Amino acid sequence: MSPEPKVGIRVDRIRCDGYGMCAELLPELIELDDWGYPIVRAGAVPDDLLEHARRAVDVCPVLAFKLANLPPAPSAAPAPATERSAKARPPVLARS
Amino acid sequence: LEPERAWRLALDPVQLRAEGTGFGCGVVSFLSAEECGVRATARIMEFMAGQSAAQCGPCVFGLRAIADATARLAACSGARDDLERLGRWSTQLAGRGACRHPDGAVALMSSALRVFSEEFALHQRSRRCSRPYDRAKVA
Repeated sequence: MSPEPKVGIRVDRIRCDGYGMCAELLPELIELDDWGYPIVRAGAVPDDLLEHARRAVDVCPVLAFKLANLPPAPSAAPAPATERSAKARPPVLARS
Repeated sequence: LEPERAWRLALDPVQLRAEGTGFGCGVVSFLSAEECGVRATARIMEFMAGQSAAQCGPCVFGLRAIADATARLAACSGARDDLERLGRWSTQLAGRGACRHPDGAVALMSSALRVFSEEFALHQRSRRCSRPYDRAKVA
C-alpha cells in the first residue's frame, strides 16, 4: 500500500486577508499576486518542504491555511477500476 | 469551437460540456456586427466585478482590476501594460475564490482575449477602435 498520505495546502479564501507571511516562509510553493494574496502551487507538498509548510500554516495571523490529506493519487486507482469494469462487462455484452 | 457549430447547439450545460465548452460566466450578450468586442467585454466585466460577494481578496481586487483595465482599453486610453496584465490576471484568478464567481468571470476574459485578440491589440497599441459604431460613441 502507499506509504504515507500526501498532504496539500488548503487556503480559506474568505479568511485570508493578504498578510503574505506564507509566501515569506514558503516561497517554493506560495507566491503573492499583485494584491498580496497567495497563489499556492497545486498538488502535494514535497517531503523536504513539509517542515516549512507547517511553519507557514502556523504563522498565518488569521489561520487561513491548513495542511490536508490529498485523495490517493489517480495513478494508483485505475488498475483495480479497469479490472473491475472488464469483469463487469462480459455479461452485459453477451447477447447470444 | 467554430461559430457554425456553436450556433446549432442548444443553450444547455450538458450539451455545451459535451462539446468541451460551457456557459463561462453565465451572461448572454448579443453583439451586432458593428460592435466592438473590447467594449462588450468591458461592459460584462464591469457587471461581473459588481456582482462579487466581496468575501475573498482575489475576487474583490482581481475582478475590479480586470474590469478597470478592460474599460480603459475599451475607451482607447489603456495604460502601457494593461493588455499584458489582463492576460496574467485572468490566468491567476481561476480557482482562487471560495465560490466559482471569479472562475466564470476569468473564463470569459480569457476567451475574449483569444477571440478578440486583434481588436484588443489595436486598442492597446494604436489606441483606436476599428468599429465605426463605437468610434462615434467614444467621440
